[in-house]
Amino acid sequence: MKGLLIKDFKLVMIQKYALLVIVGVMSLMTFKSDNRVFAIAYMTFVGTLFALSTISYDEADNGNAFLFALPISRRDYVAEKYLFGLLLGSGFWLFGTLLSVTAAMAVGGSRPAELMETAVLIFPLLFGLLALMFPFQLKFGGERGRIAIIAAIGLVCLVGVGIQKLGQLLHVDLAAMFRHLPGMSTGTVAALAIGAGLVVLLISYRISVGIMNRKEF
Amino acid sequence: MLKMEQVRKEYGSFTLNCSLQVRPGQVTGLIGQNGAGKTTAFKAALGLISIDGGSIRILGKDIRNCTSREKQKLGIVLSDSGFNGQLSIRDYVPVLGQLYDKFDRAFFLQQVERFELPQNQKIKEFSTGMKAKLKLLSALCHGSKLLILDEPTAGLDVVARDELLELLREYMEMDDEHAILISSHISNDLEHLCDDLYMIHEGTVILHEETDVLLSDYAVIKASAEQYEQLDKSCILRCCRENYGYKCLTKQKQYFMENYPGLVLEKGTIDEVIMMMIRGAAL
Repeated sequence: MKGLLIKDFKLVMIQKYALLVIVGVMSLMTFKSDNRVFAIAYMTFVGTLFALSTISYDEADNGNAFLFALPISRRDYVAEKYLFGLLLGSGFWLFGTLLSVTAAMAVGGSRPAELMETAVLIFPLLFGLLALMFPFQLKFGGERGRIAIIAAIGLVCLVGVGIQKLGQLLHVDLAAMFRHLPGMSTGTVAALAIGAGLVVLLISYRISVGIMNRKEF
Repeated sequence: MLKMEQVRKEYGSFTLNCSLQVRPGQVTGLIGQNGAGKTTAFKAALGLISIDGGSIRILGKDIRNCTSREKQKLGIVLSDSGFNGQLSIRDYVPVLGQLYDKFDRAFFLQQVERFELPQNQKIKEFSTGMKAKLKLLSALCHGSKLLILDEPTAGLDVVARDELLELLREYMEMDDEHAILISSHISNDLEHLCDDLYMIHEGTVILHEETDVLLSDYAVIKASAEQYEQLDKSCILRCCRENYGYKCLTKQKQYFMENYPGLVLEKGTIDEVIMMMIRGAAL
């Protein structure tokens, strides 16, 4: 597991110039614009994309055949990818949060405490992104995987609209339910979201293990 | 060390039907044309592809139950796959160090220096020979008991091939229990290295023989039509028509030398045996 983590970290580091450009642009945007929250969400998303890119690197030039001839089980590989995604995504989320808070403290515009509360609520998004993206990437590979992920996001939006329409049909006021959420503390909402995210991540992990077990190299 | 029994794998019109065995202390060769099924057999042996029938045991364990512990004892070279080209040897040293319990860092770096492989250069910028050497070094540097090498010398010049084969000889001298399964379509490599050879054609093993026997007892008979009529056909494995008459493959060189004094008999080389086994007809 540790060997794979080192490999993936080194694969991310070969994209260091792209990473530096993203960090530079994001820092400039965060300090220059009034929207401080964007950096937190965007950096979290970028972190998952970088983690995802390591799967494409592994697949390049039929590299998976050699990789799975090494002392690595398919289950270990999937577990490492999820762990790496969590580590990298958390790191990027933390960077985005620090950037926003630093900008708020230096330039003003938002209260740092409020930003940190928002950051805590954004964090579970990382679980959802990883849970959604990894199975598609593992199943369809680099190019087709990206198309599949876009299609999946579209599907999630459609399901959302469907739930809203269903609520209207059944006379359930979903908006009112969400309005009640502020009644809960940020910590409670974040804990619930993280708990739900972990369950979704676990289900996603099991699906990914199934996908990898069926793969031939 | 490795036992494949009636292993079957179907890919559309291609079917692999393979049985082979690698014993401790032996170098076993797998030879055949491109597309004969060598790589498929290797991938099946390593559990990289599922099989439709038969069984595979590696280091005494069914391949389906093989864990990282067993894989620690294997050194692998695959013809169509290797290290990620974006990384360098320096990047891979800590990776191998973590993946293999017995990774010998000093030995690995010593060999890297011996073969003048640049440690900081991206692997994708390596020549074919450098990549092949790196693959083999990584297979040798962690105390492996069994090497499974698919075309390790493909695309190499004579000098580089000789260097790699020398590494394999050194590996076999290190421990009596060491074993190698190696494939190549360069018969000369296998002739000097292997204890026994499996010949595969269109997914099926068509010949298994000890290399010494193959080189000493096999012969190609070149006979006129009249001579051919008088030959003892029970001792002929394959036969094909030529301009001068018939060309036949036999495993009884001595018998024909003693009983047919005027007959042209040529020493059986691996290439000749392959050609006759594939192109000749069984009687």
